[in-house]
Formats: sequence, structure tokens, C-alpha cells
Amino acid sequence: MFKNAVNFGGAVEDLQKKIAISNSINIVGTNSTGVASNESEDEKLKAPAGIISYEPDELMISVFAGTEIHEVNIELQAAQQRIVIPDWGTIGGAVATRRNGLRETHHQTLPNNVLRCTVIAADGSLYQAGGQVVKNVSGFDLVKLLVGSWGLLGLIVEVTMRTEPLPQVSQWVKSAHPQAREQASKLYRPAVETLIEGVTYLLLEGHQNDVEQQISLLKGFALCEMPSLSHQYQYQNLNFLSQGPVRSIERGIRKQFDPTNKFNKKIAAQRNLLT
Amino acid sequence: MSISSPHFQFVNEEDLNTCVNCGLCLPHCPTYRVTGEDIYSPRGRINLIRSVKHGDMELTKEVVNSLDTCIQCMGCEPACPSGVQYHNIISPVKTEIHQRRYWRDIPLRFGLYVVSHLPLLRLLTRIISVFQVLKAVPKRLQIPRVPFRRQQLLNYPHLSREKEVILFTGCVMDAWYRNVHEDTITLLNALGYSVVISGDEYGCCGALHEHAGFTKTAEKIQGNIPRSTDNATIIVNSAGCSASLKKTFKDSHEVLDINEFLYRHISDLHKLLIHRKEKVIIQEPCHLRHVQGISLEVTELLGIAFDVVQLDDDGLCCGAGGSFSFSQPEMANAVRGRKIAEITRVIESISPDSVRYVSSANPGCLSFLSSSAINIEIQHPVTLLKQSLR
Amino acid sequence: MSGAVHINTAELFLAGQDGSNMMGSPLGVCYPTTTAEVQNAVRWARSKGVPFIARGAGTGLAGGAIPEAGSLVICLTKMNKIRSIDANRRSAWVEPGVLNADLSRQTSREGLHFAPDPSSQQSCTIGGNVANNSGGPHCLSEGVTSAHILSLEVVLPSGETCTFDAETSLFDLRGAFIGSEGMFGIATAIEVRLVQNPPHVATMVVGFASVHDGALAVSAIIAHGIIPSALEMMDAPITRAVEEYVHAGFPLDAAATLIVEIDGLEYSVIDGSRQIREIVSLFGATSFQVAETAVERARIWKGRKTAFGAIARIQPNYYLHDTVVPRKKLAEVLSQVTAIATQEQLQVMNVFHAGDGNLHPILMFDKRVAGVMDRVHRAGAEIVRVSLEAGGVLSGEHGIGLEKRDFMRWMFTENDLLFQQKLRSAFDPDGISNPHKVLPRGSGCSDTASIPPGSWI
Ligand SMILES: Cc1cc2nc3c(=O)[nH]c(=O)nc-3n(C[C@H](O)[C@H](O)[C@H](O)COP(=O)(O)OP(=O)(O)OC[C@H]3O[C@@H](n4cnc5c(N)ncnc54)[C@H](O)[C@@H]3O)c2cc1C
Ligand code: SF4
Ligand code: SF4
Repeated sequence: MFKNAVNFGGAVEDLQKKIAISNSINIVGTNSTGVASNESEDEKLKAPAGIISYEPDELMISVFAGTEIHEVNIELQAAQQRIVIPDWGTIGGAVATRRNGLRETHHQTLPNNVLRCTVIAADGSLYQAGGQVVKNVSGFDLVKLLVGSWGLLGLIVEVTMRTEPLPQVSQWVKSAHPQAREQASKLYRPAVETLIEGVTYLLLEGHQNDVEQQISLLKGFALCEMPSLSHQYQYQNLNFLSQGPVRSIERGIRKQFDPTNKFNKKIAAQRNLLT
Repeated sequence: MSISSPHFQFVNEEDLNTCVNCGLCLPHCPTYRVTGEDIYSPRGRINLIRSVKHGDMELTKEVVNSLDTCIQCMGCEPACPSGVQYHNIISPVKTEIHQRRYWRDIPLRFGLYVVSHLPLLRLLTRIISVFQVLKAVPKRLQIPRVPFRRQQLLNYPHLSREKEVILFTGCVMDAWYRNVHEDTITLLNALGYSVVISGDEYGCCGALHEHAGFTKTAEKIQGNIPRSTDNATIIVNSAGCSASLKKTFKDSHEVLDINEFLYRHISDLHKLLIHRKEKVIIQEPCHLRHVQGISLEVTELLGIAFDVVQLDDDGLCCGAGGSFSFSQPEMANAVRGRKIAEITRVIESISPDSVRYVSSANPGCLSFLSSSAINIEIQHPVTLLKQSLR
Repeated sequence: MSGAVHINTAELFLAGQDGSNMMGSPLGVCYPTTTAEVQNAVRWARSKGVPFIARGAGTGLAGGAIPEAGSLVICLTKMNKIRSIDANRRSAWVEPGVLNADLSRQTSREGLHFAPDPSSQQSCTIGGNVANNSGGPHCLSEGVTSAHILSLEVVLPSGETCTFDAETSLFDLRGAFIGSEGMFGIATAIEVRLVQNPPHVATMVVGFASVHDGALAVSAIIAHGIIPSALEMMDAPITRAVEEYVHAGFPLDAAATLIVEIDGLEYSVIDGSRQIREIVSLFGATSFQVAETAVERARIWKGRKTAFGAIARIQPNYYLHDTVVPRKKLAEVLSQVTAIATQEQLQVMNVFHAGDGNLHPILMFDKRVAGVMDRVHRAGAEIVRVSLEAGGVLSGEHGIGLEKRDFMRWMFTENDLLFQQKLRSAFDPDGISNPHKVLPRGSGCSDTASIPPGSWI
């Protein structure tokens, strides 16, 4: 018994052919990150769009990576579900940049919610990582590597991710008090706990009575809307350069996956990962 | 399976086969806990015994050392979900190993000879008491302070014939911890029982010998214990001895550990004892917890008179292990070090000086723990309960 | 003592085994106590051109810790200190040999615990959990080990030391290292995330008249939008074996027993357990008990978590796969598993993480019976095949190790495997860290050379 190659249809095959013959590719979604290259020789490629399958009962959705998140959200809302990524750009873009939103403090972060990725490699071949189940340790965790890989390891064409049921109540609260964080530590696992420009924001979710009871434990907090996020906050991992052996491993990975520096040269150069 | 070897043929194949190598026993083994090495673990020992028995491995000095360092605390046995009867595996192995090296074990043999010959034990105890006054007995010998002249245990009021029990006085317990016998008798009297002293004719129970692998001697001693016509229940206040005597008397007498017996009268004890608002840590002797399955009983008993603080180490052995602390001092001390660290950790998690006593229901543990650097009073639960009588 | 390499036959023999049925023959075993000592050991192995392999408690079930012939076993059990606990950040730095359950024990004073709770948690090491990305009953709501590791200090196969965390690299090397089964280097210190102990817990034990009903109830609970903290199933034979050992009051007349636990704040627990009760009764629950006390709860979990061991009460050997299937296929795949076992005349028992769809069909046998191993392997392979055909994956938590690597081709294409090998090469270009595991033999995918003698598959 051997696994057969997956077939995602003509659009993906066309992309594969283009990638195989191209020398320099810039992968784009909606360019919400603003890091797209403006070199004219670069071929700009975008993953196909569209929902492949959505099974609310399995808490799982598969989409082409070029699908815009708000489109996905329309489907999800109809089934009273959601995904962890905030609502802008494409799924592929969010995965490639590890755009998590504010959930960093919580274990339900983006890397833990992506279950499978299908990728076109530099030679135009297709490879898959992960599987369509919620728990999987079959082989090395390429999915973790791909989440936040900034297109340096191939073009992600398909993503399967977990969905979660909408909580009964979702309430943001905030406080600018210096001791606000201590207050927050009295709570039981707020969905989000974050500090933005000196203001502590908390997201409380769950059963109505529980949320009310948790809020009653807080002093000096006010109800509020979800805070808006600056891009800087989102893309931290672009801002530092790795050192020593960590750098060698990063370069080794890039070299293994993209030996001729095809994908996203500009970002690779910024990161000193050209090989 | 390969050709059989000249070793360990007495070990039952089925007992070896129940071990599935899962490793769930590892953390319950004190010697694995302090070394982290498979060779000092139950799983490792079972594997080695099996291989030697099957002739796949020589009986090398490392194998012998692995088996010698087994305390036989039986911590692994209740922890094993497969129900491996580890005592069935290790006992014949210990016996065989000792038979094969008569001369090396001479000091151990001598020690065990003494305990099973009461007049000699008493004579030595008197000599020790003199040396103790002269402060010439090193702490590591683990001998508690003993008086030169021992008090008599006789002449306790004979309350009733229906409510009569026999107190098994034993060897070391009688020579060194006679105060615990007295406290036991006081408590039993308070509960309305007449106490008959087993006395010297019962002598030593042979548990130490059996534990150390001197099966023949143990059998001889056990054979010499008179089966008295008095069929009253036999009460034993040393956990190691109660475990052994339950086997010796299984056809003729009911044998109960004192904790078990007192637990049957817990409602009466609630009336007899006062609460002292002091904290006590319970150190559970292996022969009580792992071998006899008596654990919560002690907690509840002491809970009448004290605030009980539990150790969180699954009843890991303290390292005493009968004569183990003499034959394997290095391993025993390491194991004891871990126990004391756990006691210290638990005390400090409450607050320093918060705990007044450590209780242990076995003379071996009492003396082994007392001979360490630990700075806290260590007492038999019976003594603590007796002190709490209204 | 700890710096030395032990080479006596007894220790080598023991270092050649783990919780699987396989056996290897290493060249030596050492017990480093510091990162520097691990580094020395790795450098020594490099200089001699011999492979090395990290070992924790040796409870792995897929042979991940079975050493390649002639390799150096680096056993980390003596590196067992908790270096620091930061209750405010809810994190701790631990050495790899710390036992999983000990960590939670030590942090319980702060009201915190380490969420991954493999059934072997009393014995297995955090290093082993990291290497295998281990799961456990409560990983249904909490996520597996990977979700609870913040940073890793690693001795690389080159002998260099480095740290992987969220801030020092673009690629998530921390995430890539977790689950690498000792093939990317040795974790020598681990920063774990700690989570708050739940204020309210309800543990329910539900009996069903058939495994099929139980499996349908599982899918229904999740489909209903309830994510319990744990959702486990045991079939009748294993329930009986376990009950004999723990006396937790499991329903002995039920064909399948579900353990459903829900935790969190008061009303979510009350409301959740009420809904669960309604759903299971719709699916024909024959009994429903709620554990009243912490002691009862502990007993139920002890029963569940020692279930593998209890098997020896029935047959001396067991073999299991841990495939994961989509929840909606549970009932179907379970009946296929029964049919496969019947076909091969083997006894099978099921005790598994139903909420994740993570099966553990345990084939029981006595290896002394002639020809039985062939039947066991045939049945095992069939179970893998039907699971994959149902859209599942090869392993949910035990890892691939040595035992399942040749099934990898059933799940991945040659190209998929090639990219896994590329990742491995970036960490370990010479292939000396636990070689020949995970990736199948042959083609460009695996390390070249021999397999440990005595191993099967
Ligand atoms: C009864 C039983 C129940 C189990 N239940 C579960 C369960 O519910 N969930 C689950 O996921 N697993 C379970 N397992 C499997 C096993 O316990 C886990 O995989 C565990 O994490 C292994 O830890 P260990 O310390 O024993 O590692 P070992 O078995 O010693 O090693 C496992 C792998 O990790 C590598 N390794 C060990 N330490 C390090 C390190 N510091 N750095 C790098 N690599 C290292 C080894 O090379 C090897 O490849 C169970 C096993 C048993 C016997
Ligand atoms: S003795 Fe029991 S617990 Fe220990 S490895 Fe064997 S089966 Fe497992
Ligand atoms: S009897 Fe005690 S020392 Fe011996 S193997 Fe068992 S747990 Fe370890």
C-alpha cells in the first residue's frame, strides 16, 4: 500500500508548472503585511481560493490558502463556529506569517490549530505535512515549521485547520491601572490577557454567569470593544536575526527546501537567509 | 527461550511473564528514584532475573549488585497494574544469592544471630547502654537510647478473659523500644482489653532473616515459635513483624498490626483521645503500606489527636529495609536522604517549625530515620496516641 | 559515577529496551548530570563516529528509545531538577529527566500544573514528552505537549548548545524540535507553560450497551459544541481488567464505558454536564455516574491510566497501534478492528482517547505460542490500513519510532517524506542522533545502515 499523490485540480497544477520553471517568485496574498517585493523580475504568485470542505461536526475546515478570511468567517458563523485568526488577509498569509491575533497567552494559538498544509516546493512538486485529524505525531512536525515560514519554504496552497464553537458570551475589559495585571491573575484562564500601550486588556469567554462572576472579581476594569492591533505587534518575528547554531539551522532549512533561492528573496535577504 | 542456566530456577516463569516492561513501577522504587538507572529498578531487576534464569546472561557482579540493592520494600508491587508478584520473584533470588556467598555475609549473619537469641541481645543491649552513657556509640549504628535496666512488662491488670489479646513482644522491639510496648498495653487496657505478653518463648519472628534472604534460618525460627493454645488475637506493633507473623500464624491465630486493631476501635478512641493541635507527619513503613495495605487507617487514627500532614511520595521507602541499611549503607543513605528531603520540603511548604513529630510504625524505620541529621522528634504512632489519652 | 560510560552487559541489556517489544544492543550508556556533560557525551560519540541516542524513562511504545547497534545511550534521568518556577508568568524551567507527574506535584502549591498527562505520566520524563510530543486524556481541551513548551535548550548533533524559543529564530525551531523523537538533538532544559488547576471538575462515567452507541455519543458531544476536558472510552474486557485492580466502580455489565470530564468555571461545568447527560441518554446510555469526591475521581483516572498494564492479567504480551481517525468514523473503524482481530484469532481490547478519535486497539497474545507474532503483525497492519482509509493518520501520540516507520509510506508520498528528511538534515546533517527512526528504510528518505538486531517489522 502506498500513498498516492493528492490531487487539488488544475489551478494547483498550473501553479506547480509555473514554479518549476520560474527563477524568482514572490508569494502574495492580499499583501496586508506590506512586505511584498516590488522587483519587476519577480513572478507574483497567489494560492488559489475557495473552501474545500467544512465539517462543523468534526470542528475542522479545509481551504485553499488564497481564501480570504472574511469569506471563511461567513461560513463559520452560520455554524456558530470560528477560527483563531483575526479577520483580515488570506488564510495562507496568516499561516505563513503566524498571525495569531491576541491569543498568544492562550494555548489555542495558530500553530496548534493548523492541522495540515499542502505546499508547492521550489521544484514544482507538491508535499503535504500533517493530516486531517485533531491529533497527529506521524513524522516530523513540518506544519509547525510552515506556520510562520514567510513563504521561504514553498507556496502553501491548502490549509486544514481546527474550528471551535463560539462561546456563549465574549466580553473584553480593560484597565490602565498599573496593578491591573495582578487583578487579572485572580481570574481563571481568561481567553486573552494582553498589554497594549500600557493598557491591560482581558477577554473573558464562556457561560454568561461565569463571565459575570469573573468580571465581578476585577476592580477598576471597564467593559470595552476588542482593541485594534498595529502590524508591528503582529509580525514580531521578522524583527530579529538569529545567531550562532540557530542561524546555521535556519540557513540549512532554507537551503534544503529552496536550494536556488526562488521564493521571497526579499524576505530571505532581510533575514540573511539567502544561500 | 534459551537453554536454562544453573541460577534462579526457583523463580516461577509465570511470575516473570506478567511483567510487560511498561515501566509504571519505576517511580515507586526508591533505588530507581535516587539513581535514575534502570539497573536499580524493578523492571530492570525482573529483566535481569529472567535473562539469568533463561541463560541469556551470566550472573555478573553487576547483576548481583542490582539484586543486592533491592530493599524489598515492595513499593513496586501495588504500583504494578499487571499484578506482578514481585515478592515471589525476589525472595528465592535473595535466598540463592546468600547461599552462594557464605563468608562475605558473616557480619550480617552475626547480627541476625544476635537478634534471634534474646539473652545475647539483652546482654549486648546492656553493654551498649553503658557505651551510650559514655557517648561512645556512633549515631550511624542506629541504636536508640536504651536503659541499662529494663522495666518489667508484667503485672498489668487482668481485665477480662473475653477481651484478651496477646502482645507479641519480639526481639529488637522488646530490647530497644520497650516503651512502645508499654504504650501499646496502656492503650489496649484503656480500650478494655487484657493483654497477655507473648514473652521470650515466642522470641524473634524471623522477619529480618527472611527479608535478608536467610530463608532456612527464618523457617527454623518460625518453626520454633510456639502455637499457644490460647487462641486470642495476636497484636504486633512492629510493621515488619506483623507482616511476617500473619504468614506464620495463618492457620492458627488472627494476627493484627496494632494500627489495624486500633482502627477497629476508632469510635472508642474518638472518646478516649484529646486533640492536641499539633502537626504530625506520617512516614509509612513499607511493610505496613505496601505489604499489608494499611495506610489510610494510620492517617485516620492519628487524625483523632493531631493535624496529620501527608508526604506526597507514594509511600516511598525510607531505606531502612530490615538489615538493608547495614548491608547496603550507601544505597540506604541515599534513599533516606530523599525521604528526609521530602519531609523537609513538606514542612517548609507549611512553615518551618510547624510540624512537631514524624510518626513511623516500625522499629527499623524509627531508628534509621533517627540516626540521620533530621531535626524532628520521631515516634511510634502508638506512643503519640497514648500521650493523647484524656 | 555519572561522567562514566557504563559498558557492563547487564546495563547494556537494559538500555537496549523500552516500553515496546523491541531490543537493541548499544555500545555504552552514560548518565550525564549537566548540559556540559551531555555535550561531552555527544562530542565523544562524534569523535568516535558512533551514533548516540537520548533516553528518558524508556516508557515509549514505538521503540523510539531502542538504540541502533553500537550507539551510545545518553540517559537523562539524573538531570531531574526543576530549575525554577515562575508562578506569575505561569512557567517553569525543568531538566529533561523530571518526571511528568512530579512537575505537576511540585507546582500544585501554586495551583498550577503541566497539562499534558500521558497515561504513563507517573513514570515518563518531560524530555520524552517533548521528543514524542506526547498527549494524554486531558489534551482534548488543553492541546498536546507542543502547546505547552515555551523554550528548549538543546545540545545539537554537532555538539553545540543553543536555545529555541519564540524570539530567536524566524522559523519555529522549537515547534519543529518537539516530536522529533530524539533525531534533532537532545533537549537539556525545557521551559514549560503551566496552567491553572480548574476550580470545578465533573467526572462522569457512562455505560453503553454497545461500542457503537458509545462511539456515536462521542461524535455527538463534540458536534454539539461541547469540548470536554477529557473524553475516553474503554470496552468491556478492559473495563473488567481495570476494575479488578482499582475498584473504581466502573459498570461491569456495559459493553462500552465512557469517561467524560468537564472542568472550568462553575456554570460551564454545571451546564456542560447537564448537556452531556442529555446527549448520552439520547444515545442509549445504560448507566450514568458522577464522581462525588476527589478520591473517586482519582480512582477513575488511575483505572484509565493504568489500563495497559492491567492487560497482563489476561495475556502476557500486547501490541498496539495508536492511529487517529475522524470522530465520525469511530464506530465504523472500531467494528472493522474487531473483525480484523477475529480474522486473525486474536483478542483485542480498546481503551482510547475517543474525543480525539485516537484509537488504541490492544492486541493481546502470548508470544511463546508458535506463529502468533505473524498474526499480530498482520492484524496490526490491517488496523493501520483501515484507519488510513477512513481518512486517519498513523500515530496520535506514541510516535513512529522504529516500529511504525515502514508504515510511513502508507500515509505520506515519497515527496512528503523527502521534505521531512530535509528538515532532519538541517538539524543533523550526519544522521548520528538516534538514526533510522521515523523515516522508512530505502529510497533517499532514511539514514543508511543497519537496523538493531532483534527488532521486528
Ligand atoms: C502504560 C503506558 C501508557 C502510555 N500512555 C501514553 C499516553 O497516554 N500518551 C502518550 O503520548 N504516550 C503514552 N505512552 C508512551 C510514552 O510514555 C510517552 O511517549 C513518553 O513521553 C515517553 O517518555 P520517556 O521518558 O519514557 O521517553 P523514552 O521512552 O525514554 O524515549 C522516547 C523518545 O524520546 C527521545 N528522548 C527522550 N528524552 C529526550 C531528550 N531529553 N531529548 C531528546 N530526545 C529525547 C528518545 O530518544 C526516544 O526517541 C505510554 C506508555 C506506557 C508504557
Ligand atoms: S513490574 Fe509491573 S509496572 Fe513494572 S514494568 Fe513490569 S509490568 Fe510494568
Ligand atoms: S522491592 Fe522496593 S527496592 Fe526492590 S525493586 Fe521493588 S520498589 Fe525497588
